[in-house]
Amino acid sequence: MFYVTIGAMVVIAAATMLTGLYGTKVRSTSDFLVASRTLGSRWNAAAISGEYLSAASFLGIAGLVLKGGVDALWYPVGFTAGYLALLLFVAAPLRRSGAYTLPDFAEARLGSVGLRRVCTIFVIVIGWLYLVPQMQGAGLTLHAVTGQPTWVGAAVVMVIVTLNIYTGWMRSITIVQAFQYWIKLTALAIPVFVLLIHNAGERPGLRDSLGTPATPYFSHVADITLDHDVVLEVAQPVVVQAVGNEDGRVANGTVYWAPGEHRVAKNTRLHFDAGSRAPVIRGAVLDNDKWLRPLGAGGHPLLATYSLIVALLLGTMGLPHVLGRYYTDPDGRAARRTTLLVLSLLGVFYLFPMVSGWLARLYVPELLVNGNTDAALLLLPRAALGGWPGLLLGGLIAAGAFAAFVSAATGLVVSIAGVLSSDVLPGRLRDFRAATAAAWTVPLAFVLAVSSLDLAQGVGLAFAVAASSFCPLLVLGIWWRGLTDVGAAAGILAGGGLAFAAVLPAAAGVLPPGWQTLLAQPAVFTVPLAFLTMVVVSHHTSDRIPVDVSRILLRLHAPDRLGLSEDRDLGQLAPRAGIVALPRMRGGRHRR
Amino acid sequence: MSADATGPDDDPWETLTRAAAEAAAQERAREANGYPVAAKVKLGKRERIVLAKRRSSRRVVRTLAELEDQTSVGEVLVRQLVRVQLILSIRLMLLTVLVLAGIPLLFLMPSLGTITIVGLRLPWLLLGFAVYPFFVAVAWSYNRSADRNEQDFADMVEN
Repeated sequence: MFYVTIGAMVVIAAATMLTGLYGTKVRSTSDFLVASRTLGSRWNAAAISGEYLSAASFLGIAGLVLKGGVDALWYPVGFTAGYLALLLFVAAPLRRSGAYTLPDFAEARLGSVGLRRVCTIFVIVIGWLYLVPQMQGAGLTLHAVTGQPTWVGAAVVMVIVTLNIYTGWMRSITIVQAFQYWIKLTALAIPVFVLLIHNAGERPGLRDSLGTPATPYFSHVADITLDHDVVLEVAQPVVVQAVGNEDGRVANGTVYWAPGEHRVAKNTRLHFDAGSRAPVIRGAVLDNDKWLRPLGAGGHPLLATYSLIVALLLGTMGLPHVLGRYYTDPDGRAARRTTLLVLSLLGVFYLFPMVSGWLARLYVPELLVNGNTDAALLLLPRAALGGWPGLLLGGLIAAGAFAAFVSAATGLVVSIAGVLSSDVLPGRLRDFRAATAAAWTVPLAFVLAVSSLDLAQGVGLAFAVAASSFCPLLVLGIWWRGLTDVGAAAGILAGGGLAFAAVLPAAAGVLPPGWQTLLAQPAVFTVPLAFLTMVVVSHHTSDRIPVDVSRILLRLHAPDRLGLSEDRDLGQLAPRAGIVALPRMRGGRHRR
Repeated sequence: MSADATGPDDDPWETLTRAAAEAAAQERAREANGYPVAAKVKLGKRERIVLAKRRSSRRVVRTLAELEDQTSVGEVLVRQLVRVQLILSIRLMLLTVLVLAGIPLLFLMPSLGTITIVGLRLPWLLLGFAVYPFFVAVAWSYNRSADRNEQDFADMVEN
């Protein structure tokens, strides 16, 4: 599978590069931007979708569905609904503001450099939170393909993305990212279709097992080596060959597990015969009947669900790499059209992870034992089909997954480095390249130190912080005259700060399970807090409302054909375009 | 304002204020001659009494600004547009949120977990498939209405 994957990745990379070269027949930045703008909503929408579908969407959802059943589907629903929220409240006005990044918008709207700094900090924080799952996903993929430890994959992604940005090989221009969407869709759709056809031909017993009140069972022999300690739940007695340490005893041979909990230590090897029942890791849904039904596992399922919905719904608009993509739409109306298409493209894509998770429950229940459910999609073809078709399809998926990580990570690093080099690093370090390198340090350290969250949940943390900081800024900034810079800063710090403080221990995985649910998704508390803080503080500092607020609002809301909207100085768009020789990005441009 | 093209260099502020001043002058002239001045203009789905434009022999209307001394006409126009758009957005958002919030509540009913349509369980169909066309429908409806609101506003200002 290794060679297939590498081969597929090379093909994808080459095709991407060629598309990039083809799409960039122009020399100057403004030519480039104009060229992109003539592409139209369909291309822009594919580009936005292509960049948006990251590790969580590609691998994470399937893994969560495997573990948790229907409840995991709130992730893709939330990811998509977030774009709807963006459309309703933010898309057109933001495009008309001429802002290219969130700190830009904050400064343009409220005229405060201090607020800009606060926004910059949160852009970096959110970017890092989003970057960590990408690197983990890459590590996981490489591990599944080559057996290398996780950090190797993370480092490889880092190197590839950095090279991309330095040399501008695979420019993240619209055409390239649009292409990425179709690559990812294909990489996922083909294997899933093949597997479905295969599954349709299976003996009925296997398929029907999903509706029975019994645990999943191994349709084939399973050898599992645990890479971390696990607590397994057993519903029906099962016989297993174990070499290692289980339940506190050293085992070497046949072990009989009665129903209940069993602790198994790291590095233990387990062997299950075909047909034997699979134990599942604590936290996953145990029997297939419950798995098929909603609201299965975890404490406070309703509250957790709502909190997740809030975070995903409101967090999309606050993600650093989402906003810049709108700049290739010529005006506000086109921005709306594009967003509508994005919704359709995402909807089509998200059908596949769901189906994959369902298939995974049938074919790779061993992942429920070692807890690495995120690898579900990668291991599924080999487990279900075997032989060279399995290798081929598995390689295709792995290559698609890697494309997902690289494109999402590129977008994030460019966003982070952009704000770092323009707003944070003084003096000599005002260099985009140095900022790029700096952008990696913290996430990499985090990945190396900690690796306990599922990919989709990890991404959910970024959404929670974004929803608690930038969503109120955008919504109130665009629709309410009364927002002041002090109010905005207070709200961002209160909501975003609290959200970050809550998710950080959750990300590190150091909490007991009860707290984990609540703190990993704090949005249902932190978002209202942020809004409230902004409103209250703005009221108290109403003397700081910008004098020209009416003019600003006019610019944001007036129809495009009146020609009142703003276009940013094109020279400063270069880094987003993937072109490396840049002029410095300055603050304070918008206020005249 | 047909003669003065609104270019990127024009201050949008002055454009609107100029139009307001012209119309106000015309209106006073007509009033003096005994013509009726009140009229309603449709902005989105709501009817507003607004300032309509100038040199044509249209009926010119009393503006809200004339009722409030301090507020200038342009600001009022903008407020109206913003309000109309905001109400549209909130309405559709509320619909979406109600649907999304309602689904977990629906799931609380245990019997729902067993209903099967086309061989697939209802919760999976709902959450894995049906929501997406719903989102697209909401988005499409929003785009149409928002564009129309803007159209009305632009017609009124430019006209």
